[in-house]
Parts: sequence; C-alpha cells; structure tokens
Amino acid sequence: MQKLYTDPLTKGMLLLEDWTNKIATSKYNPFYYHGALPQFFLWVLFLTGLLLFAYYIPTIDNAYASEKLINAWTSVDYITNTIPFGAVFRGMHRYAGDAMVLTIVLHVLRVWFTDRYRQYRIVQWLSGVVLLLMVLFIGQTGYYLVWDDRSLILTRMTVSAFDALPLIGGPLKTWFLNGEEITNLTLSNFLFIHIGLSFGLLFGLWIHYVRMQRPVITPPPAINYILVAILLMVVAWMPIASGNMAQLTQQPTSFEIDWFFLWPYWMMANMPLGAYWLVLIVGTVLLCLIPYTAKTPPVEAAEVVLNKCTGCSLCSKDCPYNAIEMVPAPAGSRFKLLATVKEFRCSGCGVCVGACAFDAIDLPNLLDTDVTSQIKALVQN
Amino acid sequence: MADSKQKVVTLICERSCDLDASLDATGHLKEVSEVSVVKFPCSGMIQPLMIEAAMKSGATGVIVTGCQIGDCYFREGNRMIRERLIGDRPPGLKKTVDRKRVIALWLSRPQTGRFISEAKSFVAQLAQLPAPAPALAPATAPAAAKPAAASAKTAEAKKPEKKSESTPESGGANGEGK
Amino acid sequence: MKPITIILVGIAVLTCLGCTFFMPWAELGLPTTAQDFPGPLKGLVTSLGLGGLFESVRQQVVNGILKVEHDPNFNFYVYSFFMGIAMIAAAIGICVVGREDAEEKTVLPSK
Ligand code: HEM
Ligand code: SF4
Ligand code: SF4
Repeated sequence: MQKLYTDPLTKGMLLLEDWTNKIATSKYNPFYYHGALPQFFLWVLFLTGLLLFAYYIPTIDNAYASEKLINAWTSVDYITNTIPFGAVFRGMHRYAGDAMVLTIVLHVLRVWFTDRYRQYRIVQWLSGVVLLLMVLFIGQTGYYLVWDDRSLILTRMTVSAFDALPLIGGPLKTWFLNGEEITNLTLSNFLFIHIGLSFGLLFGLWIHYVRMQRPVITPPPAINYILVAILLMVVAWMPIASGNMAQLTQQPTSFEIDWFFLWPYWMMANMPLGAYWLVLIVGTVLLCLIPYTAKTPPVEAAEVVLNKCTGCSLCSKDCPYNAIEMVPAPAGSRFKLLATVKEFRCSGCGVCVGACAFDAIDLPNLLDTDVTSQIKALVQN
Repeated sequence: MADSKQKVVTLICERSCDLDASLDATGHLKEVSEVSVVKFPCSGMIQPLMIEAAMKSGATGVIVTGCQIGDCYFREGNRMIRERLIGDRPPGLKKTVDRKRVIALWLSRPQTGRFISEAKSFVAQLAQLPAPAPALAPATAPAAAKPAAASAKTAEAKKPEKKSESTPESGGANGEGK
Repeated sequence: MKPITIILVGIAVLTCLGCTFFMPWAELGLPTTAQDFPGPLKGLVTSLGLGGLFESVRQQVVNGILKVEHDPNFNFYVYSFFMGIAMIAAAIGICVVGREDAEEKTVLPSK
C-alpha cells in the first residue's frame, strides 16, 4: 500500500490541526471550516456593501464645488462622517475584504498541504483560481470607488497597464474607462464591475461546489461571532479614512498600499509593464498546474454490480463528491432506478460501499467480500 | 497473554491515527494483542454488515476508527459511518448487535497513543460484560447460523470476574500468533 | 459540567454584560460628568458615583488602546470596540459549553 502523508508540509499541517483540536476541539477547529470562512466573509461583504450602495453616488463631478457638491468622494465622506455608524460599516466592508483574501489563502494552503487538491478535485481547484482572481479584482475596483488621490493613481496605472498589452489592450482600456478618458461614466462602470463581479462570484462558487455534496459553507455561530468581533475591533483600532478628493488636473504620485489587494500595483511600480503581465500570467498558469505536478496513481472508480442494485439511491445521497447518478433502470429490470458512477468525479473513497445494504457497489481494488473474509480470518485464528 | 478470550477487530481508516509502527506481522496491535486491525481507504466504507460479520465469526468487540469529525479526507466519510452507527442514517446496525461491544473513535493522524489506550480500556471493559452466546463457540468454525444471533440477548452470564487488561508490554511478543 | 467550564462561562457572561453596559454609553458620546448624561441618568450617575469610572475607561480606551481621540467618529469606534469584546466573550462562553459535545469517542446508544 502506498505510504500516506510523508510530506513534511502535510505532517506539519496535521500536527497544527491536532494542536488546535486540543484547544478548540473538532467542533470549533477553524481549519475544519477552511472553505466556510471566506464564504462567511462574502456574506458580510454583501450586507455591509448593501448599506454603502444605498448612499454611494458614482460620479466624479466636481464642477459644482461651491454649491452642495455631490460626487463619489463626498458620498463616501457622507457615509463615513454623517451616517451614524457609517464609518464602522465602511470599515467592516474594507476589512472583511482583506479577511476574505486572508482566509482564501489559508483555504488554499490547507487543501494543498493536506493533499486535497488534485484529480477528482480539479474542478474545485481551477474554479478556485478563477475565484481568487475575481476576488482580487473586485477588491481593487473597491479602491477606485472611493475616488480619492489613491483611486486616481490606481485608475491611471491600470490604464497604462492595459495600454502595454498588445491587441486587446486598447479595447480593454475603453471598456475599463467606459470611454476614452475618465468621466462620470467611468465611475458608474467601476461600480457596475464591483457589484456585478461580486454577484458573479456566486456563479463561480456554484461551479466550485457543484462536485461536492453538502459543502461546508457555514461555520458554527460561535466562530461567526468571533469573525465579526475581530472585524469590529480592527475597525476601531485602525479606522480607515479617505485621502483627498481626486482632482483630474493633479498628478498624485505616492499612495498607501493595502497588501491584500494592491500588491499588483506595487509590482507595476517596480517592474516594466511587460514583465508585470508576464509574471501575472505565468503565475496564474503555474497555480493552475499545481494539481498536475503530483505523481499519483489514477483513481479506481467504484463499480455498480448491475444485477444487484435495487435503485434505492442511498449511495448517491451519501457520495461526498456527487459522483453517483440514478438513471432509469434498463428495460426488463425489476427496479425503477439504477446507480451509475461518473468515473471522473469518483474519489475511490468507498463511502458508497458503506451506504449500500445490498453489496451492489464495489471498489475494484478492495472488494467488500475480501474485506469481510479478512475480518473473519483475523478473528478466527 | 493470549489467555484473554477477547477478540477485538478494529476497522480503521488508513488516514486516521498512524498504526503502522504499532502492528505486528499478523495485523495485531503489539501492545494489545487482543486487538487486530483492518484498514480501509476511508471509515465511510465500513458497512454495518461488516461489523455484524465480525461479531458472527467470533469477535467480542469492534472498534470503528475514523479521522476527527470535520477532517475526513473524503469530506464526509466519518460523519456517514458515525450516523449509521448511532442509527441516524441507513443502513444501520441490526438490532441483534450488542451495542456495548462496539465503540467508535475519531482520531487524527498523530493520536496513536490515544488509540492504544482506548483499545486497552475497551478490551478491559469487554471482559466485564457477560460473554455473548454465539461469540466463543463458533470461533473455530465458519460463521454461525443466523438464528444464533437472536439468542445473543439471553447471554449465559459466565465468568464476569475475568480481568484481562493486564496486557504485558510486548517484548517482541507476537500477539496471538497464527 | 466541569468547574473550569463554569468559571470560564461566568467570566464570559460578566465580560459580555460589562461591555454591553459601555456600548450605549459610547453611543452617547462617552460622557464623563453627570450633566452630560441625558435626563434620568444624571441622578443615577451622581448617586452611584460613576463619574470616575467613566473618566478612567474613557482615558484608557480612547487615548490608550484605540488612540482615536482626534477622530470625529471616535464614539462609534469605541462602541464597536466594546461590541467586539462582548461578542468574543460570548463566543468563548458558547465554545466552552459547546466543546463538551465534540466527540472523539462515540458510545452507541443501546437498542
Ligand atoms: C471565494 C473563495 C473561495 C471560497 C468561498 C471557497 C469555498 C470552499 C468550500 C466551502 C469548499 C468545501 C469544503 C468542504 O465542504 O469540504 C471548498 C473546497 C475546495 N476549494 Fe475552495 N473556496 C474558495 C477559493 C478557493 C481557491 C482559490 C482554491 C484553490 C486555488 C480552492 C480550492 C478548493 C479545493 C481543491 C476544494 C476541495 C476540497 C475537498 O474536496 O476537500 N478554493 N472551497
Ligand atoms: S445503495 Fe446499492 S442498491 Fe442502492 S442504489 Fe446504490 S448501488 Fe444500488
Ligand atoms: S467511491 Fe463511491 S462514494 Fe466515493 S466518490 Fe466514488 S462513487 Fe462517490
């Protein structure tokens, strides 16, 4: 039998989780909710974002500065300084985004280090990479929306980064600015991208989850309280503030970097734009290739014994990877349904074998009859 | 040491606590020779039928072992077998199976020590129970007849005085041999 | 329940209640003298002599821990700070009780 868990990273991860169990027990071990943590922060982002959206005005207009000026920056200022607790909600929205990135990274490290990232999990991994890119881009558009100095530099840097791309660069720039230069329409486009892609995440997550039965997407309430509490305390401890209102006539040069979302701009500032795109693209491709690097034997999928299956569908309910489909039984069968294994989804875990009371499904490399005789042999001599 | 009449079968997930170094050549625990071990790719593969088969062929107890709840490598296997054992998910254990003779442990990879101490105390605890009717008799013959299981309830309470937890630290002891 | 559980839950409940007590106070703008409190509370603050307590909490949280004395929204930040502590205390209380039914060993219910 192949040796399990020999990798030092895997061992280290298991030790860390064991240690966490000693304090928190398996019921509250955050590692066991690795995927649910970013999902929870996504809900926090939706709720706090709804409040911000109610008051946000996506324009850059500052022609009427003398009269009661209304634009993106002033609406954010209004949310922060006039609406009771507006500053707190804004802060939670900002830090929940950071927390989402952080927990996604934890999630990725865990599925990677505990060897849960390849073969039948490939759809989860690849859709995960897309989700990560989407989350990063959504976060960046969030920074444009504030429309302070930093938003202006980021917008201009993004435009020059697009300009550096051959062929698609021009169209991308026009799409991004919603025209050829920064106008009121640009900000409505930013708002649309920000919110539209956020809802797009739900579609991405559907693909992420479609191969899993009952994905664990909600941590227990006590963990949720702690997550929200941490957000509240960070908001109080490091209040956020906008910079000065962006002025199209000015050329701000330096800005504070949020290392969760804005690191690509640090790269842009420190390397040629061509190299920047190369690093991003190669990095993404490498991330997608990680699951193919492991040398592991192919999974031997479970097999249904056609003449034994009664169509009770217990196996298909219990299969953790949604790999068993109940199809109409062939004509002449006594039963209505027949279990069929989708081989490319099957993990070879054998949960279906445990679910079947009729011995009608088997792992080809470990027949349950063999197991039973092994048990008998051990008992009887 | 093999004078203890207990024969305990462990049905364990190969990813749960690491027993490789604790087994002798015949698949018995070095430290608790009454306990033999059968590995599965996932505890979710364990069929209640297998537990019944073990009991019928003479096992006096069964230990089901999976990873910590929440940490199944295949996501849900240990939850499945747990629910099957306590009767919340079909298929369950037959009524005739003596519930006192089955326990389940949910242990992570590094918790080998915990497994061994639980195994010891389970063996000791089994020794306190009245012997099951069909358990010892057919131990040498292949699986007992089905109706025999029904009489398991009317156990003739014999030798409840026996203590068997005195398992000597194995100095290369070969368990029960063949 | 183990004694340690009861002690921890006790601490959690007290912390949680204590912090919820300071939350509405933060919303009022962290007043420290009786006349800054709204009507009926004025008398209460004087008769219980709470002024000093409020003064020192304000000092420690606003100037000490959070350093938000110059922020116009400082009272909301103090509110969310206390709410954060209250929620963490509540969560710890729940976990301490809830962890008792995490199981490493399942004994089957007899049929
Ligand atoms: C928006 C961000 C993400 C969310 C909310 C999320 C959420 C989840 C959830 C809830 C699960 C199910 C866990 C379970 O029930 O066992 C899961 C599984 C998984 N995720 Fe993610 N995920 C995200 C991003 C990613 C990324 C970036 C990657 C990798 C590049 C990734 C890779 C995986 C893999 C491989 C699994 C399968 C694990 C298994 O089968 O046990 N995810 N994810
Ligand atoms: S559990 Fe067994 S009998 Fe029921 S549908 Fe699946 S394979 Fe067929
Ligand atoms: S072995 Fe069975 S339960 Fe496991 S993934 Fe394959 S079909 Fe599903």
